Amino acid sequence: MMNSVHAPRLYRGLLILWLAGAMGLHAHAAAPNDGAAIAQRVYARPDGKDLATRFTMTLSRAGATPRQRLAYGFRTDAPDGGTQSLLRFADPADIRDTGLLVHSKPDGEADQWLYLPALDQVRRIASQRRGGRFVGSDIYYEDLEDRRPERDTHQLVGQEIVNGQHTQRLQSTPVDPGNSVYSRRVAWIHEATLLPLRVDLYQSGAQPAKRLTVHKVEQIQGYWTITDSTMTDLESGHQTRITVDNVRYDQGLPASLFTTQTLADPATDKALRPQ
Amino acid sequence: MTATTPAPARRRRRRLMAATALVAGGACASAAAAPLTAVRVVGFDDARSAAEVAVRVRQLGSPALVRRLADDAFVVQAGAFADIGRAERHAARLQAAGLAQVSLQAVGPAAGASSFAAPDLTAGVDSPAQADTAPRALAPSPAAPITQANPPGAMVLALNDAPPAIAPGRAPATATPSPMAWQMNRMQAETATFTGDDRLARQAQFLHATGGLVWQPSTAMEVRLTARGDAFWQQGWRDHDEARLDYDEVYLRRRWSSLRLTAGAQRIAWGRVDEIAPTDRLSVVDLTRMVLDRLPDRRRTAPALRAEWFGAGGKLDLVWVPAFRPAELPDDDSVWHPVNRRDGRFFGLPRSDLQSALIKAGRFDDDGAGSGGGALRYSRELSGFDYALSAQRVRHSTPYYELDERVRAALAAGSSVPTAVALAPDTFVGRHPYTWVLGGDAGFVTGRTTWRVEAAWLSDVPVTGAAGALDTVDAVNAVAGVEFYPGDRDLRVNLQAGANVLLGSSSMLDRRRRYFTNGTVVHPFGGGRFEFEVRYSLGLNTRDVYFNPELRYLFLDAQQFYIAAHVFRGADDTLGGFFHDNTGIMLGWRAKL
Repeated sequence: MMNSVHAPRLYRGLLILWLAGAMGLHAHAAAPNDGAAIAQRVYARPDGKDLATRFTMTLSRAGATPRQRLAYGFRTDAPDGGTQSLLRFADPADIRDTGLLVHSKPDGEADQWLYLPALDQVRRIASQRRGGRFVGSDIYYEDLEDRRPERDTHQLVGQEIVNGQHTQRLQSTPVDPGNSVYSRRVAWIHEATLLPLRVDLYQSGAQPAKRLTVHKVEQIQGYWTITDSTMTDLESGHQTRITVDNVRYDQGLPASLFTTQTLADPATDKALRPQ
Repeated sequence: MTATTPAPARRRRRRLMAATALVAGGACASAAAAPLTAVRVVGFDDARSAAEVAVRVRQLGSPALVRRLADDAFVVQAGAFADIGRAERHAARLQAAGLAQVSLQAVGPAAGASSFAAPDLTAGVDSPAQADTAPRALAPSPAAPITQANPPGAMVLALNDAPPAIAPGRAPATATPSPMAWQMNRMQAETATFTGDDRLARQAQFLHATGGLVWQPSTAMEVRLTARGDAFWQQGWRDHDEARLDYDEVYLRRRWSSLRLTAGAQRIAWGRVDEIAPTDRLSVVDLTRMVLDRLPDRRRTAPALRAEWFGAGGKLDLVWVPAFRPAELPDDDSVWHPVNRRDGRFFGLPRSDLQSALIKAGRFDDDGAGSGGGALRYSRELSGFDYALSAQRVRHSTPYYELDERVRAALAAGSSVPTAVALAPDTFVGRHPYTWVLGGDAGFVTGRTTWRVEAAWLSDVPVTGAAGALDTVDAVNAVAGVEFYPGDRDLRVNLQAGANVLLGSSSMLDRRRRYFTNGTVVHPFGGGRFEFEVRYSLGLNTRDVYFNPELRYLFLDAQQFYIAAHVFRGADDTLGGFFHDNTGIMLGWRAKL
């Protein structure tokens, strides 16, 4: 009932973009101080060998009662150079125990499986979906993507202060417009943490369609982590705020956590969920 | 000739000048700068309290950075100054604004290495109306390095006035769940108005609740004790009201690293395609509302012992059903019963006068006693491709009604229907013959499209021979489906096509071949507050239409109101034809707590 979790693209995205904040700003190494170099630094930013987190997603808009989703996310570096992620929703009840497993490969391809508790079934789902809203939020599936460096060209377009922090303003444009729902992204990269403090996402026209605003960044176990942020649909005013309740890095998460066996058995990952 | 400064040197100089300018403006502390005087609001035991004061400090036009100190205390650093006089004036301004515990502290290069502070030039979160308002540009400053050696939570950058905590429409989830939890897995209330020309009922109402206890003392052990209650009302040809209590999931589960054992009443749904998976033969069909509910709500639990072994990249699933549970049927007078006693019709068979007379005059029973059989399934997920193979020796949970042999012989000898019916205690007996099911299913992805295929060969499928006697034949069921998102947006489309073919040459009343298409289209809109869904099933070689549009309003979390139409049309021996008069409009509420 009411299960709208379909084909989410977790990758490092949800766990890094929102919790440690890369926002798909990746590029080849290039000459110092140009956009590509900054993007490369963002991409190479330390984010731990593995990560477990508990976070709350709040969906709100004026005049409507906010809706909240509580979820746990796990991510690890895979032996093949890719990443593996498991996302488990815990609340509300209509998506309780729904899970998503992603095996992201170094070449950018991915295998994704969705667990539907009502039928106790694991289903393979398409991983190349980019548009569409993740669990009804303002986050598109592409926002969660571990976007490969070569997919965008990057240009440093300024240096600005955002909320008291010095940032580099970086514009990223897809090399192939067909592989992105965005015509361009402009990110305000905090030099010290290599995290975006704000990202404007353009779809068509001169005005951004969505905006990511970072409210809080914490250094946890030595890793800078976005712990409070909001994605705003600038047309509708609808907002999705993600607040991180707990984060643990480098626990040595077992490989068995990232299997369809665990995906289909929510009880088995409970012991590893940060509370 | 003009002397030029090398570019790196120019950059270093610009950065140094900028850093000086920012520090002079009370903005930035840097490892490269000289020792500074930090203005700090002190005395916080936790980050939340400090963050609240940081917001207030920013409202005064000052930068604010929450820091955790070595003794676990928190401070709000309101800038660092090269000029101590400026620092003192800034501290005085904060004190004058009501911040009592303001202190000045020397910040050396070591401390400055991981601190940041800059004037807050943007206020609050940008509103949509300010979407194109970029932050004001400043001259660059040297980037402060990341200090990896910091303890957990050592640094907090409270970057702006975060939106206030939002009160959700319900109590938030508990942070530390208890090993024992009460769950209400499904609640539903519905009222229906039937619009068919010759309808059996004018209206019907339905109440449902499923819930119970889940106890998980450890990762290895889990106990579920859940039950369900259903209440039905119907007004029309024959008024009817009924309440039922039933067990739901009642099992003990034990886990090892590569083995999971489950003993008790459980729901086992194999297969990969939607709605009509050919290998889904273990689950117990719930026919109390026929097709009104979504598939998970049309399956009951059955007592079983299940062992799932995980290894070598695959999973082996073994199931034994010690006690067979037949399909859950509605009350005899329900409009959703597969036997229409008013008109004398069986679901799946064409009309006949003799059959009609027998049904109206006859009595019914079911032979659901005995074991349910066993089954195994091997499944594996590969890169880009999943598959499963299954072999089952199970019983059909849906009854197939056999005319009593004495009654049939009497009719063949020329007896009247009342005379023939009187010869046997039950005119029809619901049969659940054992069947072998050999099947497989697979799923793969191409681009943004997911493909699913599934097929099964079945033995001993019951049919009615031309003479009215029960017979069994082999059959093949196959379905292929595709799921995609047109335009890569929120609209989800799942389309399937399939065939059910009865093999053998014997004559039978049942339709030998059925080709069909079915599917689901779901479109969320209104910021996720609304959903429009259409389910359909169409016969391809006979007229058989089922069409179910539904509009949902999702309010709070996990609750929804809905209005739905269920439209049935078709030939007599089809779903659409049999339930033609049950076309109607449903209003309802669903929830999960």
